[in-house]
Amino acid sequence: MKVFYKIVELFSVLFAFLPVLFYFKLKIKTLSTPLKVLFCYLVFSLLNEIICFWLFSRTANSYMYNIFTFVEGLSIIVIYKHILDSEKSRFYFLPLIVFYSLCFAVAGFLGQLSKHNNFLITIETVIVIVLSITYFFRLINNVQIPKLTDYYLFWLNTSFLIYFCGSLFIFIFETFILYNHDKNVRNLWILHNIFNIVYNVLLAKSVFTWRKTKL
Amino acid sequence: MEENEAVIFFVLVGALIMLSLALVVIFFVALHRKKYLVQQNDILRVRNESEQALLKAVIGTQEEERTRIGLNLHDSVGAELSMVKLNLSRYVQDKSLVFSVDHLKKEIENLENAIETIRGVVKDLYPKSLQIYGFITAFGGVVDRLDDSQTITARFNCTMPEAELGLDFPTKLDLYRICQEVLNNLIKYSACKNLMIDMLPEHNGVKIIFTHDGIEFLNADADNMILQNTGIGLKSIKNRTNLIKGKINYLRQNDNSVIEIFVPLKND
Repeated sequence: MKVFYKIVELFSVLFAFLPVLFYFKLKIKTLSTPLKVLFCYLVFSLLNEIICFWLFSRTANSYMYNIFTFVEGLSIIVIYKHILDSEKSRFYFLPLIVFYSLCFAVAGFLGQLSKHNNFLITIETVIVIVLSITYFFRLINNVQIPKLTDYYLFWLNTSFLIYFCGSLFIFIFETFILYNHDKNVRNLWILHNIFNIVYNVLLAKSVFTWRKTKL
Repeated sequence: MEENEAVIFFVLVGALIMLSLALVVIFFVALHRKKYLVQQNDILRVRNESEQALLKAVIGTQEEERTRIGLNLHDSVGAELSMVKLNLSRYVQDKSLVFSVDHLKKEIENLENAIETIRGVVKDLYPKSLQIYGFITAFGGVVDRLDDSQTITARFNCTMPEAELGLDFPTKLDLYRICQEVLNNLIKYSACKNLMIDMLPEHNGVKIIFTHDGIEFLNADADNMILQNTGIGLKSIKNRTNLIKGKINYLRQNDNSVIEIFVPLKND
């Protein structure tokens, strides 16, 4: 069983390469803004995975993890700012970015960044789920897209929704799970690794769809 | 230990529920979008069909008018010119015939009749007075001519100045044709003695009301005749009214028959 957990953990790291690989030979200039932001986020995510994987057995990676969470949340909010762009949305995206940044600042001020805290990631997860559902409902009435599966933003949105919905409860109990003496509780983290693999596969599908249809 | 088990249970069930909810949302969006697209396609198809029907009706109306003009020319002008040609040919073929001034006058009279008929057809084809003086004066002239014929007492009331009509020239031309056809139908079929035509401003449009004391004719009668293809003029009126996005109603009010035509302004 331990081997199985190790394999899933390793795959979770390796699959972070997958969406980045699909950017191969694509010119950054030709990409749409959400894809550009996604690329930056994926590169950062990849570096984070590598660094965390390397640091995990040697020193605490809480700083890196918290900064990554902040950048991840910010990147996703910026992506949604572009894809949910309307006169109305401009009014709530700026306060949302300010609110999220404030949460990070407060966590830093309270000295929470040196610890593995679930405060920021839970807020990020809730924000992303709300944005993702909002976008899905916007997508219903969009007749300009002939087929959903040919549209990269559908896959991008699906990846965000599945990953963050599936991981919400894991993130809420993240500290409890990761620092628990009970091995069974710690093994719950494998769920996150599985969702992470699915997440990266769907992100890769999103980039691949864009390459294919350019929609 | 119990706390750990509770958390494991809570996380597993929570993750399962949230994941299910996410999948339900995705499934719902895909399904609803499919329905929405089908609905949109249906609307588009119906719109295309009605546009095609309208186009067909317009072409049909044009064809009917061409036929009518052709028949007019053939029956009246053609016959008169043929008669003139026949009479004049007699002098060429038979040298013994003496050509008199009376004969010449008669032929000139026939030619004048033919010219008058052509003038009438041309006037009918393109009412120049409509372009020069506008709808109110042009149509007022038509009503005055009808009144002068002394078969029907006709009056046209319009207090609005031409500038306030707010209709562009193609709409005015269509409205003029509609009113002409209505008058034509009234003369032919209504057996009315008195006719009152009022032109009134309406909210976002103009209304023309024909009130007469002739035979009752209602919306149902008009629909039946159009359905049975017996009312070519009625069909033409309906097509033209649809073309300018107007409405026509055949009613009965205070023992009088009423025909109401509503024309919306262009920006509506």
